[in-house]
Amino acid sequence: MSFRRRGEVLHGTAPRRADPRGLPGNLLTSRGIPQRESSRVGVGRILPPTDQFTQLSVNDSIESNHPGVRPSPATSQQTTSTGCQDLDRLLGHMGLPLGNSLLVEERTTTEFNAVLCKVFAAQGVVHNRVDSNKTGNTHLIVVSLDQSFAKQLPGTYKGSKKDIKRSKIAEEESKLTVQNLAEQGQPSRYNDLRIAWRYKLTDGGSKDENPTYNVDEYQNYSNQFDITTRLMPAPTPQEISFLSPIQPLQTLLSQIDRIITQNKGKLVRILVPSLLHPAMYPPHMFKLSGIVSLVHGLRGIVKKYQSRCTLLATVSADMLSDFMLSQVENIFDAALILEPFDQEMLKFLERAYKSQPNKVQHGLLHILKLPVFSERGEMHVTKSEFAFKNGRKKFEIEEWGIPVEDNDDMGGNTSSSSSSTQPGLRNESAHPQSAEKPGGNTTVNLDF
Amino acid sequence: MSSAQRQDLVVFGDHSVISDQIFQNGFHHLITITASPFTSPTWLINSLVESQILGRPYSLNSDSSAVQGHSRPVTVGSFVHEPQLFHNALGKLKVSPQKYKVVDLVTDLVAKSLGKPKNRLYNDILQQFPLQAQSVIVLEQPELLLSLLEGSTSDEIHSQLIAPLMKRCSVLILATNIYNDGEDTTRDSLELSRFTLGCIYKSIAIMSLRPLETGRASDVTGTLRITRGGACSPVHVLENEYLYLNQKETTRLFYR
Repeated sequence: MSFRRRGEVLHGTAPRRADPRGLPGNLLTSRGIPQRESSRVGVGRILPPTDQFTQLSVNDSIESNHPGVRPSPATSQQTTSTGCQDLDRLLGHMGLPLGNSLLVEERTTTEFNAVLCKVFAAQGVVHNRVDSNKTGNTHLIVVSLDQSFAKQLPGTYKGSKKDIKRSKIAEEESKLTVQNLAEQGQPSRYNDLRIAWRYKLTDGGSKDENPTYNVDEYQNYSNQFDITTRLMPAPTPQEISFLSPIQPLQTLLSQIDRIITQNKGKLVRILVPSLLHPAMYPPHMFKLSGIVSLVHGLRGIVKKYQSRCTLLATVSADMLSDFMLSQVENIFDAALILEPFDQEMLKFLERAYKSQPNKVQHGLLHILKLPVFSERGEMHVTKSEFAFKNGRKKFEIEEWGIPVEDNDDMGGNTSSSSSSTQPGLRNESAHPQSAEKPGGNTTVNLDF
Repeated sequence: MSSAQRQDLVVFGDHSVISDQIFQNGFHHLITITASPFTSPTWLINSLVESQILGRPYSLNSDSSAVQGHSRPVTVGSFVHEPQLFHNALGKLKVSPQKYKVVDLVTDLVAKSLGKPKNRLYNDILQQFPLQAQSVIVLEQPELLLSLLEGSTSDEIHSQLIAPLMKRCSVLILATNIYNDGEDTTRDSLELSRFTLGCIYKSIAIMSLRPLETGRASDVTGTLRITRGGACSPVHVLENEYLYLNQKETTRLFYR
């Protein structure tokens, strides 16, 4: 018995197998099911499947192997990363589906939304640079007066200081020097140990934490950014376009349309940071007709190019009236609210997490609408179920539970989650993570 | 099981979703769907379109004894959703695209409306809907024009868009969002409330979608309440309330 390789191409036009289920001449059309037009492609000659795909109309879509696009695990729609992995997960699609818009509102005077804007922009630039040989695959449009925004984008996170040091050593060792050549000759047990240690790292790494992210399959889909570093080199005008919100609305919309048309085949990420910032927007935009026209116009563009366009906008909720805000929310596909904690709450959390200061959350995250799901009619309003914290290397979103301050300073274990005792909070059994975390860390310390 | 206990969508007394008697005598009727901002009525709109084209909302009513209506031409227009959304959803319900028309009121609406007299814009919108007797027109969120067009009023939209649109068909189904804030007395919010009230007074039936008052639940999305409107209906409206669960592109109704 002989086997044929899987990749081997079958030559010749072998006669097609007769359908064992159907009688000769008994076509599907006789049952009233219309025959697809695409079947005409193969009339007269059998084309390989790839040829048939090329004949389909895919004029205005991005390339199939775009590193920043993957199918949504929930709906299979093409989705792109927001640059924040926790936000991607929260949206339910491992990112923002193409053709959808997201509004991030922020209460009080903090600027956490700026971090989300920067990572959204930086993620687009990083996608664009994945394949340096090509002309690029992603373009970013920023509707803002602040052109220095491009220089403030964070660089990708390259690991801890130890990791960076190690990578520098490896880089040095890879150079062709006399010393390196001399060391290469002798087998070193340190190399073996290093490899073993690396294996250990990968075993307990992020792969297990994010099974749905498919890190291996979509390696360049989402990056982690370090907000203390800068993206080098800074984005060029080929990668990022700034448009002024001061110009007349019709001009602004036509410019966005033109840029998208010029960047044919590219994924276009539209970013509107600090929508209705008083220093950037003219007074007439603060009327209901001004802001709704802008947002509706942007929605129209995103829907027009829905196979390769997404929109992220952020707004300070305190600057708009409730009615105006509700009208703006209505036009977006997804809407989230960031509600930072006041000083009193932050002090309480710092006390509760005295031994683990990196666990202190910075505010609550409320969900109003989720892309695609809310459009279908599903209700996804969740309030005070999630909290966010901003760190050097990550903007984290996690389930929220109020920690209880423990007065007994027994072994430094100062906090524990009391979600079952607090009214309106989640059930301990339903969300065991936060209840287990402090105890889990104590166990780790004892083992050491 | 008695007919009253069926968990099928029934709006009129003759056990139909939209009664055939409404289409007789050449009258023009309005049915209003009200929804909260976070419970989109897209599924209900799709089911109503399906019921008018296929004769019955197969996606909701599993009972084969439900009344089979006539197939009628339907035109759908939305100020927030692109036509592709309706094509995809109705395609999944096996509704042939030849039997309905979707008017695009999202793309380039702002570009077209800027610097144009309001009368002309209303007229342009109207011209996109075919004039057909015995037909159904569905219009989603026309109240958005109150926000889009500076100085527009509820009366203006009713007189220049809604009333002429009703004359182009037998039944106009309006889906509108409700804004609930009694303390908000700004002109814009009052105009929106007046617009919704105007729709309710002119309607023969009202379908109201609301989230659960107790908050989000995994087994119930919200409530669908069917009530009579301010206008006189030729067929009795069965006032009823359902719980509904919207999950993975399917909707199930439960009698409350």
